[in-house]
Amino acid sequence: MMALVTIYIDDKKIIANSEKTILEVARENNIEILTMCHLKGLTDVGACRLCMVELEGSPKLFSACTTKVAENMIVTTNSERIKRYQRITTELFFAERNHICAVCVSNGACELQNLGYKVGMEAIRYPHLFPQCDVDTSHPLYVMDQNRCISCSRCIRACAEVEGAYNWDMMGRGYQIRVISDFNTPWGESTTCTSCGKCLQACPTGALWAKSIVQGQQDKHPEFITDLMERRKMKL
Amino acid sequence: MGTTLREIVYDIGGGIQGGGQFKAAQTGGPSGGCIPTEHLDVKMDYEELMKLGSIMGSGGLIVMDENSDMVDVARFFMEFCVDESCGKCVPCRVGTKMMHDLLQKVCENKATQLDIERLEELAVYVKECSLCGLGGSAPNPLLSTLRHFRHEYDTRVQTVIKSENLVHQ
Repeated sequence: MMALVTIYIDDKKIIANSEKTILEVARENNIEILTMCHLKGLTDVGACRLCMVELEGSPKLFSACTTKVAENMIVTTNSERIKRYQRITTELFFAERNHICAVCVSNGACELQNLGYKVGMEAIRYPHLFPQCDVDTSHPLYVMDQNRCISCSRCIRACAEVEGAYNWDMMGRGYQIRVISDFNTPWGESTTCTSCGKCLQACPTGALWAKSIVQGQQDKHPEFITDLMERRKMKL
Repeated sequence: MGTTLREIVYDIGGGIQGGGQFKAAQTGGPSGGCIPTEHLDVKMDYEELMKLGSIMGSGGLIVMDENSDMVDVARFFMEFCVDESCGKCVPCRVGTKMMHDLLQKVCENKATQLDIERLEELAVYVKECSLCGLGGSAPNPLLSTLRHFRHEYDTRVQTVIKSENLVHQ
């Protein structure tokens, strides 16, 4: 049941709908919370841990995208601890796979790159894992490059929840997880993919891209996914 | 509940095999913590173990003698957590792997003081930011060995500095 609650985000008093998450309320009120795995319209999974916020009265941190607002909640989004953790998360993203912006299709229009700028990342203090990753070019229109994947699962959710094709899935565990097409078969041989390109628009990095474009020319529109879901809700 | 660690190790367990010296006991399985000699008289219950940075956990108890290398113990348990991480959230997926690689570096006497600082920072980060309890407790062996056996980390680092100095001279 919908109810109105009063919450405080960074000392700003806000009247909010109790059905909404901290992240939704913050964004509606122009308070910036960094995210990677969140894409409005898709189910939130709380996997990237960038949107961690402090709640007064608890020593624990909470992910803003999966925590609903409650009466008299006092939220802090910009403490030194939060900022430090955001920087570590960003560095871990870069150290995990082979992110080389200079040769990436998404250079200049990449959410991961922007995140690096936003948190003020100057260097990656952790040893790079440099894993051996595959590039799947078997699809006639698109490419899946594991080197640039951050395992946010936005493509998986867009494919399942918006297109309903269930082409993408996750394989393996730990740092060895990989996004796979069907049963880990080449994307071009997929029997489920409708070649709609929604995964491409949902992908925050250059892991999924269209063959027709060249380096630095990728122009992604994750808002397509959000708009589609909004229109679907309104039954337009 | 409430039995001291000394009673369990020496009375019930019959002491250290081969007549060695007690060095540490890992309680609560791979995500628990190490308890050093000075806390041998700790009462085994939830609250007392929590105070020492360990947990009851699975109830497992691994007793180690003076031949055990505590950095290697931390590395071993971290390896387990790397394998067990599901890979959904970033702190646990990448953080445990990074901590393991850094601990491996310490084990091989290749670490610097900066690596120890990175380890400390990562451990608290993974503990606080992980999505589930596995990541939340994965750094426990590292944190407790850093707390009770800090000198073992420091000596490894010092050897690096010494050998570097030799090269410069």
